[in-house]
Parts: sequence; C-alpha cells; structure tokens
Amino acid sequence: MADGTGLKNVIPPLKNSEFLKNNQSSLTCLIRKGTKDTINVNGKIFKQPMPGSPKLTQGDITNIINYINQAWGNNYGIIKYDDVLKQFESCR
Amino acid sequence: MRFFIYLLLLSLVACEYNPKKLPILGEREIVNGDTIYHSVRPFQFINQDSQIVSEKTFEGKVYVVDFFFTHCPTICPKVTKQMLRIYDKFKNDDRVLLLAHSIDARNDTIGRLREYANNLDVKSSKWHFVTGNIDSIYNIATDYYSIAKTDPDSPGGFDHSGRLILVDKKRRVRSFCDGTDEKDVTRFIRDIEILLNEKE
Repeated sequence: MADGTGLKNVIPPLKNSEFLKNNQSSLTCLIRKGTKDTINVNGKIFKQPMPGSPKLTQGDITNIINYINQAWGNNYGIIKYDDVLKQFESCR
Repeated sequence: MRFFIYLLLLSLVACEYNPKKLPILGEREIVNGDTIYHSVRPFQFINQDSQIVSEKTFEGKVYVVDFFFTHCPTICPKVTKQMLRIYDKFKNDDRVLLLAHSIDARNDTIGRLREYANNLDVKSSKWHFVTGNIDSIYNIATDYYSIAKTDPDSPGGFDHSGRLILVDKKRRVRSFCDGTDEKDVTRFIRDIEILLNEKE
C-alpha cells in the first residue's frame, strides 16, 4: 500500500520486489491491462487477479514506474517516456 | 464541609447520567411519545462459506460494514487494509463482527469471496464477505448511508464510497469514517470501544 508492503496474500509488495526488478520491460502492459496470472513475488504465490487501469496515459505510467522503482529504498533504475511509449504501443 | 459533600454527590450524579455515548444517526420520528430511530432493514445474503448471513447473524453484536469488490482498481485495497486493522484489534472480542458487501455480484462469486478471505487470512465467523441480489445490496447501502451503484464511467465499473459504518445491536447507525484515511479510522476504532462500553 502506501508503504509498498502490499496486503497479506491479496496484493504483492512493491518494496524490495524481485518481481518488479525482473519485469521492467512489461510493466507498462501490466499496469494498463492488469493480469490474471499467478505470480511469484519473493517466493510467495499471489493468485488474486490484478485489475488494469486502461485510462492512464503514457505520462501517468512513466511517473508511476519511476516512483515505484525508486520509492521505499528500491533502486531499479529510471524509465524514459519514449520507452513507455514503445511498451504502450506493443500492448494495445 | 456540607458544600463539598453536595458537590461530590452532584458530580456522582453527573457521571451516572452522562456516560459517554455515541449519537444515533439518521432520521427519527415520534410515535405516541416514543422516538423511533432509523434502523437497517432485515437482510439475507450469502457469505464466503455459502452460509446465509442475515440480521440474525448480528443479533446482540455491534458490527462494521463496508462495500467493495475484489477486482477494484482504486480505493478498496486501502479500505480493506483498514478493515483488517479493525479485525486484528477486535479479533478476540466476540461482541464485534465485520460485514463486507461485494457490489459486483457477477464477478465476485462465492468462490472468489472465499479466496479473497483466505488470502487475507481471516476467520469467516468474524468477517463475513457477502454477495446476493444486487438490488438488495444497493438498497441496503442506502440504509447504511453509504453509496454503491454500477457506473460505467468509474474505474472498475462501479461507483462506491469507502465509508466504514458502525452499527449497534438494534441495527442503528452510530458512527462512520472514511476507510481510506488511517487517522479517521483510529477515531472510529475509539467509537467502537465507546459503543461497547455504553450502558443499554
């Protein structure tokens, strides 16, 4: 949640998340479309579907990714608007 | 000396007759000299264990109500986190129950609700996640002075409030708070304690 720790087994953490670190190239699609996949975050299984947020713009998503990459002590790099644009096009 | 005794007696009387009480919220009418307060209508829904949950489930209990859906992209997770705080606080207090209404009967099947409750690691005897006739759920939201309706323009397809509502043993609304606001929920938890300590 606001502290990046998620919610029990419902919502996975973003803070210190291997999943976030290792899936940088698919974050735009994940945020836009959500997922029904079961995912493994730091060894813990999460099955609750993640809803998409299709109304977010490319700018919104760039800001979100850069925030979660750097908040709570995370250090997963900076994404450029152009990269989000490319990812955005690939998951229309 | 006599004055002090008088003062002491007066303060005792004041304590006796002014215990801290929560207001009874909503409309009221006077019938034959008695005040009739707004109360929540009787209801019947199904919980995550496929058990019927009705007003009888909450007989003799105070309970906290919210409206949510499991695939909610906006405020629900924040509200659920605060409901979880209340759950943890009153986990071992049988006088308090929680009641979460899904406002998306199509997607939130009993199986989905059960999975959600399991993922939160909460007991169904304490925290009921219910579904049912969608009009009944939307209607009962108005009894709790909350809002739940379908709205294609809202993210996720539903417009609803993140309000938590405190209901007493007579199904009267006694307090509420913004379930997305941690500080307001802290105040609300104090209200639950006040209600529990109220003399009948």
